[in-house]
Amino acid sequence: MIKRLPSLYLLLVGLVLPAILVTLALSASFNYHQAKSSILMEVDRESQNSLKSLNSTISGLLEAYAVNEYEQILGNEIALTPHCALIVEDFNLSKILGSQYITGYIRSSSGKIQSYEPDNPAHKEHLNSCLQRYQTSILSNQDEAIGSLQLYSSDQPLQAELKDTLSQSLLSALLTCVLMAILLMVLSRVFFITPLDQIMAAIGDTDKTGLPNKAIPEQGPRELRALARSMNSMITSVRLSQRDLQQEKDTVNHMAHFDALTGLANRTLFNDRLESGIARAQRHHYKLALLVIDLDHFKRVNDSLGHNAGDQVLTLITQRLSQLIRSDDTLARLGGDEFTIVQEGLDNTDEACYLAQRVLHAIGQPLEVDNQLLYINSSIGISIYPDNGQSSAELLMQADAAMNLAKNEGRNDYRLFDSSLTQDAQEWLTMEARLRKALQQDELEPFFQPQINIRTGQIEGFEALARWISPEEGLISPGRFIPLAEQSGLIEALDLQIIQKSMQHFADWHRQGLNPGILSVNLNARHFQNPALIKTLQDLMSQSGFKTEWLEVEVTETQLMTKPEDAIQVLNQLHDSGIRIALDDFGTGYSSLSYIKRLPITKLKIDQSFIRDLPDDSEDASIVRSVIALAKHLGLEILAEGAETEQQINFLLNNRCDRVQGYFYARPMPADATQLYLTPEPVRA
Amino acid sequence: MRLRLTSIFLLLVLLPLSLAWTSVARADQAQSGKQLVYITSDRRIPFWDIMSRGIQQRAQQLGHQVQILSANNSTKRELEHLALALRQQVDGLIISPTSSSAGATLIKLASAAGIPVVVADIGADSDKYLSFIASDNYQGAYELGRILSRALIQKGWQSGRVGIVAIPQRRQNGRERTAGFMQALDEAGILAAGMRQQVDFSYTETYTFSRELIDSEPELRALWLQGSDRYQAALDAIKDAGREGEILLATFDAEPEFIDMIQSGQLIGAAMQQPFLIGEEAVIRLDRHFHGESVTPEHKLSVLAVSADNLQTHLPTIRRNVLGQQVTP
Repeated sequence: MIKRLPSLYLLLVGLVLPAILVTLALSASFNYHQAKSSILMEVDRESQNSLKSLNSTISGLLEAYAVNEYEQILGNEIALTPHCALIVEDFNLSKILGSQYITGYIRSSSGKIQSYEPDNPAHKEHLNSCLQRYQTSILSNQDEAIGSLQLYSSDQPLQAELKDTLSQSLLSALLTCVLMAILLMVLSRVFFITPLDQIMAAIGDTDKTGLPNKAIPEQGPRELRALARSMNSMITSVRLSQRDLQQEKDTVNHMAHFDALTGLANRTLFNDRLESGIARAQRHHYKLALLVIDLDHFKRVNDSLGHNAGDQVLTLITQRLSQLIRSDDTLARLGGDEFTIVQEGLDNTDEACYLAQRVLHAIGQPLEVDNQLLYINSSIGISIYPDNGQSSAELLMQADAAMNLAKNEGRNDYRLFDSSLTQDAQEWLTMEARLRKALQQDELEPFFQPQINIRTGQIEGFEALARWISPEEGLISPGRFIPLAEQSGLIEALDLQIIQKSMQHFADWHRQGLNPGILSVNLNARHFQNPALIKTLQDLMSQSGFKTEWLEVEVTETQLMTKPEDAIQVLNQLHDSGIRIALDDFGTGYSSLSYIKRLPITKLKIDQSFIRDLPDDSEDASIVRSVIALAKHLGLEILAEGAETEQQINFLLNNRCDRVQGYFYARPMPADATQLYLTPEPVRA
Repeated sequence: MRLRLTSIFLLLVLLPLSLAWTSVARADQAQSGKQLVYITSDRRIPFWDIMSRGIQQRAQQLGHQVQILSANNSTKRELEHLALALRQQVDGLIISPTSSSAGATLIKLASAAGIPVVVADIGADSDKYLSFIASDNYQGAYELGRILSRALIQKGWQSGRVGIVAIPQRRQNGRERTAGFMQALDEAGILAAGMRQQVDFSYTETYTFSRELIDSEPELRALWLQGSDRYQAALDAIKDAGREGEILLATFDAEPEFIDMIQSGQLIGAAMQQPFLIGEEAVIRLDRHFHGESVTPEHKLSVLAVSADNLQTHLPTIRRNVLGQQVTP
């Protein structure tokens, strides 16, 4: 509860009126003292005159024993003057009577005139209370003293003057106070209160931000005008700041909710819209479809044509998609090449399928970017509310799963979510978490598969292959975790961990006098984005005592071709540092011969898919011969992967492919088995 | 019948006895009577002397002792007499002061000493007295005015003027006399010529005032003296003015020779106070006070307006109450 405070009126009156009262009191006091002095002088003068006059008047009467006459004169005198008492001692009469004859009159405090009684104590007391006593002798014509006259002056004039002064001062003070109070109220009303009221009214009339709608009126005295001016200036500043803030807020809000490139809703806004859409669908009992659209091989566009081209592609696709959706639907870009559409108000699932088909068609139309025609397809996953889930997270996860299914099943198509997709997606997420944990807990180990020179029978080296030995499941297939590691970005850490452990084993084996040859390690193309790659490898080698000439880096043809220019640069640096480079899975990609010529590679590894059906598959045989010929022509070493049968060995031997890696000779082995494999027979024995 | 006769006999016998007993009782009381003092303004003046005798006679009758003190028209002496009375601690005081004002002082001093005061004539500027006995001056002057008016009318002098030689008008009796007389003249349609106030009551003063009035007013047909003792001065003035027989004379108060003068027409009339009676009444008032009886604070005695027409009727009263001739002090 706000304590009730006194108004400005009361404060002003409370301050000014006491000051006026004090001033008037001082003035009244001064006036009183002035008047008192003047009155005392006047009383003294009048008393002296009266005494003298009375003396001359009654002296004859005293002499003539006209007692009653002079008593009447005394009575008349006291009645006409303010004297306190008039007393006469008649010596003649006293002489006759034989005792003092004192007569006269006194004026009581109530103003009543009484005969003076000398024996009355109250009368004597009254004389003592008079202001001043004057006395004179009454002389006869012969200058004999025949009596005495005493005049007691009264303080009544003084009291009356004091009363008048006080009453006048009081009246004056009251009138002045009332007038001043009225004047103060009027003036304060005119000059302070009204302008303040107007200022307060202006301040009170605010918009939703709490700022006044109108300018503060600049009225009243200078200080109030200055105050109003300052407030207006402050309000203007605040308003401008608020506007700037709002703009920044809008910008941030836009950035927070919209994709900068396409202007579409981003993930945050998408989530809001999806949740709102679910709420509406629930309220109005209709279906809602979520379409997750992922462009197929969009990465290639970025890698081959640059990010600007990729951005243009995304912008063009955004325009096309925007034309397909209704105003109530939401088109969003969740990141990269992933779009979503929230389609509301569906009666059945077919409407979502129809939209997916239109999206596939729209995206599939040729795109002209930098004077080049590009053909891009997309894969779409669809989840339906309420059929496939109740929450936005569920729907998104399920649409993602459906989209992945579409990709896995050949891309450029759409898939509706079914429950099995959910399990796959869950497993995927679980595996990713487990793999991350396995890397932290050092559960991955290198397995070594020998590379054999079939012409000499010598071990030329080993390829280190990552194996995950889970405490719960035991050995987990690389087919389950390598793609996951590549998609989740864990592949870099995985590669380095395997390289580091392999180098350590190789260094140990060399120190043991064994000859493991060349260590081939797989290096994902993501490493090429790491500018410290060479240093990292050198650090690992120096830590373990591994020598550079023992190392061979295998890069898959497919990865190499995603960014060939970048790869060439990095591979040159590797080559220059003395590291050998092998092109893995050769034949599966789309290597341009011009690039291969420029690559500092020392070895080509024929993908096992070409070896698997040798020598019966003539097409594979032809390819293998061509590759071998190409390697020979370029002066590269050639190695065939996946040789499992003697026929395949013979075919390769006959076609001058000297190096083989496959089950025919040995499966990938753990380090201890590899060490044993390297140990000569007599020693092993 | 015998019973009735017996009752009448008893009544006739017992009533005188009762009266005799009362007189004896009063005489006894007089033996242990009160000490009285009468302060008169001037006993040399017959009026006051006659009043003194009235006081003396009545006091004697009531068994009181009275001391007559004359101030001889001196205020000082008057006060000295009062001081004497105070020192003697008398029981009662009768005053005929030299003036009303002086009377007030006497009354004040006596009252302060607890002495009851009866004012006999003159009056006093005080109300602290026991009783005030005075002549009805207004009545007397009025009746005298009527006598004079009738006389003037009878002589056909109703257009004539009347001059007045007055006692001081500051005295209450003076003012009453003037008022009563003027009332009668007004009623008769006769105008006054003028008025002179006496100061020293001397012959010369009266003569001078009378001559001034006569000389200043040719139509003057009458003179009225508010006092009686200086009538000769007025007669001389008329005579000296050569107006003898043309100007009538009337007076207030009386002198022994007035009986003859009225009878002879030399004096047309006189308003005669009864000083002897006033003195008696004053003593009676004090006596009543001594006996605890209530006393009226003011008592007016009639003034005899005597002319030739009623002189014989009033003559016994005049001789006793006015002139005090039938009483031996």
